[in-house]
Amino acid sequence: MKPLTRARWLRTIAGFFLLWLGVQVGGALIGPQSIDLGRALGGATGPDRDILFAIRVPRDLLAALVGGALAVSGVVFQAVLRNPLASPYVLGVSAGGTLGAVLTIHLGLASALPGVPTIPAAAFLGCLLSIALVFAIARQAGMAPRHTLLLSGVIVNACFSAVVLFITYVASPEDTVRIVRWLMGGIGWEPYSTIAGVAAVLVPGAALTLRFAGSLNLLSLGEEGARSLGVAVERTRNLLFLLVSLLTGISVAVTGPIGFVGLIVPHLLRLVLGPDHRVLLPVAFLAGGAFLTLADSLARTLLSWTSAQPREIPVGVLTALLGGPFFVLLLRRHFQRSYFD
Amino acid sequence: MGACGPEKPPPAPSSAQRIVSLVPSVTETLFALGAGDRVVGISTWCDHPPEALARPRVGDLYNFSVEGILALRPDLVAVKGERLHRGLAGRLPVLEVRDDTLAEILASFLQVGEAVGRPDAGRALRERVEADLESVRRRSAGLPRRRVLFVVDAREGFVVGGDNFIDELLSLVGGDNVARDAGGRWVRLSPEVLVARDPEVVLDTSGTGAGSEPTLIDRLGSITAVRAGAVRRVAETVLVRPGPRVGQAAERLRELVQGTGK
Repeated sequence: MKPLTRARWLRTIAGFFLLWLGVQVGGALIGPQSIDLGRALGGATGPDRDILFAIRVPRDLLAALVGGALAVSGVVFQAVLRNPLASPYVLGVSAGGTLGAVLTIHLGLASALPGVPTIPAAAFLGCLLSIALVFAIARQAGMAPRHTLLLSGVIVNACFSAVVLFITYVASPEDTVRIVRWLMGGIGWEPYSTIAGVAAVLVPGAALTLRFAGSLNLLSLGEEGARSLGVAVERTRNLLFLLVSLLTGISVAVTGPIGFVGLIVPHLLRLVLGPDHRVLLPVAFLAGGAFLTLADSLARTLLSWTSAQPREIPVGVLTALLGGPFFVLLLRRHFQRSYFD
Repeated sequence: MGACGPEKPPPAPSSAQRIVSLVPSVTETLFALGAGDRVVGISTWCDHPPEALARPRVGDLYNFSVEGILALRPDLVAVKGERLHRGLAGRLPVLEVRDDTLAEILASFLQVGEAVGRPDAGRALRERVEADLESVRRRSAGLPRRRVLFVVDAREGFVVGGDNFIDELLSLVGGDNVARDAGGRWVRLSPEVLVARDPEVVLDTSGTGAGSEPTLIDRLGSITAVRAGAVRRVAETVLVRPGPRVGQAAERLRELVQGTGK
């Protein structure tokens, strides 16, 4: 493998940034309604302008932020747990967030406080609660922490999901629709103020993981090796878990759990770019964002090409449909390259 | 009418004496027919008439307590759609009512009237409601047509589509439902399509009431309804309730669509 020089690092990042930018521009141009770009960009209020700036751009930006955060979280989880099945949701984060959101919907608190988005707030609290629980359980058990964390994540996930199922069962049909929709995940139409708030946490948070890139490279070789090379294994791992759990928690709070981005994008990038986290982490943010923006743009558009009845596809459905086959293709092509072990 | 499944419920008595209604509109119809004293149980969502509210509640169509229903010893259970048969098939006679369109609503009065042994009252109710609707239609005849969006759940983007009594009532009072052709009775409308169809009036019955948090619609300044301040949040169940009060609903919709009401 070629050594990583500053120039090559910059070239890679710049390349993916251009890809990201292309998807953002392209995504803003497609949707169920065709728009006149001249009128949309011209000053006056009008339908074209509304569709572009009040509907598509905020939605695409949110997809870019959340997709990026989920992909970075996936890279970190997979490296630290040294488990290719690890995803941002593996520690029960999404189940906690879902429980918070579902409880809020069921108890009719969705608009309890005027001006306060109670569902995302409760979802975020749920995420924090599940992270705390997972860490508490993992600390009790005596096995190697990377196994106990994974196990307690699975357990917390299962318990929270059971409660969510029960609430879904007793909820009114109206609430059931909302709950099921929330479980699918989806990019909504948040005002720019919300998006700015989300960006203010996700971007610095994702950037912070880059400080641990060196440690992650060593950690993914094995804990013993990393320790002997001077990595404070426990401390690094806990800090990283907390950091990416927060990233995931905020993402889940605003969009619900969107599957596959945090699992597939990191794997794709490892196959294409190799295992160096100094490259993987920033590229994951750009590629994850581009992937989710693309999927969401297609999700809102595809059915309008095939039928006169404009409907949308839940974006989580599309991420899995797009990501799965693409991943299989890449896996076949790069079969020989050493992958995880 | 009746079950098409393999298990046939026992036949309904010619005149039911103890009725559990899992459908809010049927509860209203039973009381309007003067059979309110025979209603022994109601659904979670029944909220009219006031005399009905003292009856025990046994859940709703999608989630009811079989034991709770059996304990009331009903000789008839009013349901909508086929869903209920799974829990009650073979145990209790079931009155299955459809009331998605105005024609179905009017027919349901006769059907419920027959079931409680009051066919004359059923016919009378049908004529009264028809007269109510006709009166609104007559008085709305010369009014301008307005493009209307009727939102059922703003957060989820659910709106009233076509083939639906609310769509018919809107049409009666001079409203053209912009989501009529969107492919369903209740549909999720893409906001881009909403902008393109440009409603002049938006009625939102999300149940959040006035003063709730602004939704996406409020940020779409190119929509005529938004510019004109004609986004009306009205948490009134009568507007979305099929049954004997559809005439009142039409009256209220007329005010809301034509801008004479708040």
